Order: sequence, then structure tokens, then C-alpha cells
Amino acid sequence: MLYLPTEILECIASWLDTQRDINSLVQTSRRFLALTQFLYRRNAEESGGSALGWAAAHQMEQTARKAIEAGARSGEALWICARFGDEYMARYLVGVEGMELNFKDDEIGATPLLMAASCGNEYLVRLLLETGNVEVDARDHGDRTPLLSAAHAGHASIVKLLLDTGKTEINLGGECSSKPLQWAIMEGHGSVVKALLDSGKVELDLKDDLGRTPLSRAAYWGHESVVKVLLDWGEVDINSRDEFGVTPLLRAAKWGHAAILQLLLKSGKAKVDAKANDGHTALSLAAEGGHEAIVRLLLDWGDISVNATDYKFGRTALAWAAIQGFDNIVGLLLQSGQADINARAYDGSTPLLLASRLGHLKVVELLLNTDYVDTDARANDGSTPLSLAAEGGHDAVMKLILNLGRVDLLAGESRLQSPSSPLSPLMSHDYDLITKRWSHIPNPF
Amino acid sequence: MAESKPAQKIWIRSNDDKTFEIDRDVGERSVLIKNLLEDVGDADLSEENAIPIQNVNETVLRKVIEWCEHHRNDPPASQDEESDARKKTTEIEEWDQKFMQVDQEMLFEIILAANYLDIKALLDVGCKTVANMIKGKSPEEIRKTFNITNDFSPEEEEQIRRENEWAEDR
Repeated sequence: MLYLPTEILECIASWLDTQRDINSLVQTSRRFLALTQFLYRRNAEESGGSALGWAAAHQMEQTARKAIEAGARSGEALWICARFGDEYMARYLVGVEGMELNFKDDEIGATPLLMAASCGNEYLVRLLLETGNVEVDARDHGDRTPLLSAAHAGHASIVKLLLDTGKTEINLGGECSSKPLQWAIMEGHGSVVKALLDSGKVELDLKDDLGRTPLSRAAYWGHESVVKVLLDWGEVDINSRDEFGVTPLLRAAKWGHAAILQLLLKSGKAKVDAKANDGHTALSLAAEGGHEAIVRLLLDWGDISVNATDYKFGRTALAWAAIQGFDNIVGLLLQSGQADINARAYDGSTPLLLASRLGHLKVVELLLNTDYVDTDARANDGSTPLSLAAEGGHDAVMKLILNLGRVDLLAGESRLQSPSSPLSPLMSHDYDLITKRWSHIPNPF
Repeated sequence: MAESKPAQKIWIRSNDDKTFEIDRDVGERSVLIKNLLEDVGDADLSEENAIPIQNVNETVLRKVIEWCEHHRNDPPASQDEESDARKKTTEIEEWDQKFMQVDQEMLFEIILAANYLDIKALLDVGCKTVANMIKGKSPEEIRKTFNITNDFSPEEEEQIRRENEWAEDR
């Protein structure tokens, strides 16, 4: 068989159904190496040159050369190269004449450039752009461009390369938003944000459909590096209000991003008492959210209205912290010496009334330990801290209140004796203490 | 039906000087012979003037003539369907299978002769037969089948295996 001329060997190989069989024949002896070309040609014709893609994935230069010689030009190899390839392979493949530079894979619809941009393969991005023959803004099935992918993945140098071509659309996503910028903000890529700003083509105070500026979004996502870049840029409206009237400062406070709040405060331009449409302030949002570090920062800042109230309930920051049972925050607000301990909301409730009703023992304790707390405060419906604690079955809170020995037990009488609120919640609990102290009032039953 | 007339005879001679008298249409299964005959006037056809078949010996030529006689009435393969049809079937008709039940040396001799004489259909049958002996085998099994010595160094063998690894699932 070894003496058969190559053309006959090829004829035999042509009757082999699989490339695997041909490969086996090639590997039997040196004589059959003559069929190597045939094998690669078959692959180029029948399998779209998959050998080339394999070579790119495995950095097999010899395989790549043979596949190219056999006519393979599938851009799939470049696509794979974007993910796994080395620089040598990238340079070789890009230099091959007739290479499909703008190949798109079926699944994602991504070109090699898009793939390289999202994988951070700067070398390949550079090579592809240098050819001048790649579609810089080729979109994948998800409408992502190379710029968007690079911005999302945080590859700032690639973002710069793409922007430098002048052929990429930076304000994707319609008139009111720049998707690359938004995605970089969302992912916290400060250097990408900087690169996009440097292009001079993004409008920094453009608002999205909820009226939020890039700074506001960055404050929400909590990415310090991005906020820093935006503030350093200087031309931002630091107090921009979204459609809920929420400013970047309010958002940072609400979501507990202390470092960002600090940056905003230090800028000297943020309005520390800004109110959202519902009347919430940074302090009340942080108090409600239990963000101790932020409450501390705001109180230390000094020039702040601690007793500002919201428009719906008329509650102060202290009231919100009392409702949530954040004793650490209640403690901070009390320590500040500025919080109105008996501030009444629209329904007449004070922080003590709210904490008693909800059974927040530690908060009640903190409030009771102050000098000026009104232990007999009455809400508009006549309820007192004691009656509310009794109604809610908060035994420990009741004990605390009664232990004070200065509570006017008759203060809540009218409410306690009303048909809708009988003493039953009290009586159902077995408290020596309570009955002893209760003994001087007439038994309603 | 075309009118029947006595078949025209031609003579061919093997490289070991054996002359065969065959019907012209049998001989013309070979494109080589067919082309040669076109250059020779009918009057010049004679046993003494037999066409020399330089690369083929008597034994092999006898086999080839046997095949041509059996297939003398086959329709000629049309040019355009050649490439497609070839890929479709590696099946070999029963008579040809039996015909190819010869030792390997003879099999390769027939293939070489078919190639030299330019008898495409016979060449294909021969190559298909060899291909069928290769299918699904590992390199080592192929070596055993055809008594081939492995003349690769272990390093070369490994290198080729690595380079062509992609073909393993193709």
C-alpha cells in the first residue's frame, strides 16, 4: 500500500466518511503524512474549518497554519482567539488574507471584536481595529456593541481604543441615556466612566426615564470610585432630584452607602437637608434604614435639621428609628441633644408611643432614661405608651413603664374601658406587678 | 435497439508480452485505450499491432478485462453528478465485492492498473474496498491490516497526534 501514488491514496481517503478515519490513516506511517493536506481540506469543506478554531483554542500554531493552507478562513477562530488565544495566534490569524473579520457566532451573534472587547483582550482589539476592516459597532443578538460590552466588563483601555476610532455610538439607548455609561456606573468601573467622560460626548446630567442622573445612579449602586470620578469631573448637578424628588445624597443615605455620602458632603455642595417629595431627609431615610454610620456622619456634619418631618406621617428621624426598633440609632439621635424626644406626628404619636406599640424594648428603655420624655403622652386616639404596650402584649415594655412608678395609670383609662379595647389584654397576662399597681382602680368587670 | 453487428475486435498487450483479443467496447471502458484508438485507423488494428499496456502484467490485465467485460454495458457516469454521487454511497455491488476478493497485492495492482488505464469506476471500486478496510480502525489496527511498519519516532507520533487532535470527533 505504501507504494501507491498520492493521488490514489487521496482517492482511497475520499471514500472514508469521517475525518477521524482519515486522521488514523495519516498517523500510520510517514508515507501517509501526504494525506495531511487532504485531511485539512476535507475539514475546511465539510466542517467550516473547525480545525482552525480548535487551533486557536489550543494555541496550536502548526494546526492553524495547515488549516489556513487548506483554505479555512472561518472567523470563528478569531472569535475563539478572543477568549483563549495567545498574542501570536491573534496576530497570525488577523494577518491572514480573506479572514472573516466580522464573523458572528450563532448563539450570541458576537463578532471577534465584540468578544475581544468583553473578554478584555486588548491586544486583539488593537489588531482588529488596525485592519480598518472591522465593524466597530457590530451588535450581537442582545443589541450589545463592543463599546457597551467593554464598558460593562470594565475594560477602560479597550473603551478608549474603541472611542478613539470615532466610529462608535456612545449614547446608545436613546436620547436620554448612555448605556455604556450607565452600565459602567452600575458595575462600578470608575476608570471606564472616566474614559467615557473624557470622550466629551456624554452629557453628564442627562436623566434616565426615572429622572436619575449618572451621579444619582452611582449613589444608588454604591460605587465609590464612580462617584469620585463624577464629582472630580465637576460639571455635575450634585443636588439633582429624580421624579420622586430624591437627590444623590438621599439615595446614598437610603441605601446605606456611607463612603459615598461622605464624598457628597465633602464636596461642600450637597444640600444636607434636601427633602424628597414625601418629605424624607437623608437623616430620616438613614434612621429608618438602620444605617448607623450614615446617621453618625450626618449628625457630625452638624448643620442639619434633626427634627425635620415627612409629609405623610409627620414623623421625625427619631420616630422612624423608634418604629424600626433601631436602638443604636435612637441612641445616637438622643446623644446629639438635638432630637425632639416628644415630637408628635400627625396622629399625635411620639417616639415612645410608637416604640411601645411595637414592643421595641431597648428603644423604650433608651427613651425612658431621658429626662424629658413624656411617659403619659397621648396619641390623638387617646392611647398611651402603657395602653399600647398592653394592647400589643408587650409584657417587658409594660414592666419597664410601670417600674418607673410615675405613670398616670388613669391616663389611658377612657381608652382601656372603651368597648373596643377592654382590659382583657391586660388581664390575660399574669403579672403580680401589674395587678398590685392596678389594685386601686375599680375593677371594670 | 440498435442493429446488431459483429463486435469489432482490438488487441492489447501486457508488459510481459501477453496479447489479449477483446471487443472494442470492452476495451473502451479504459479512457486511455479509447483515446489511443481514436488516433489509430481501423485498418491498422491487428493482433501484430497490439496496443502495449506498459504498466500492467498479464495476471492483472486479465482481471481488469474480466471487470470490463462484466461492466461493458454500464451507462457512462455523467460528469456533474460525479462528485455528489460519489460521496453518497460507499456500497459496492455484489459482483464487484466478489471480484475484489483477492489478496492485497492484487488489489493494489488492480487499483494501479485502473488508474493507469483510466477506468474511473474500477478505480473507485478498488479504493472503496481499501477504504472499507480502514474505516473505524486506529492507526495501529490499520498498520496490522496492511502490514505497515510504524516509522515515526515516539516524539513525531505524539506531535502529529496533538496537531490533528481536532479530527478525533469529526
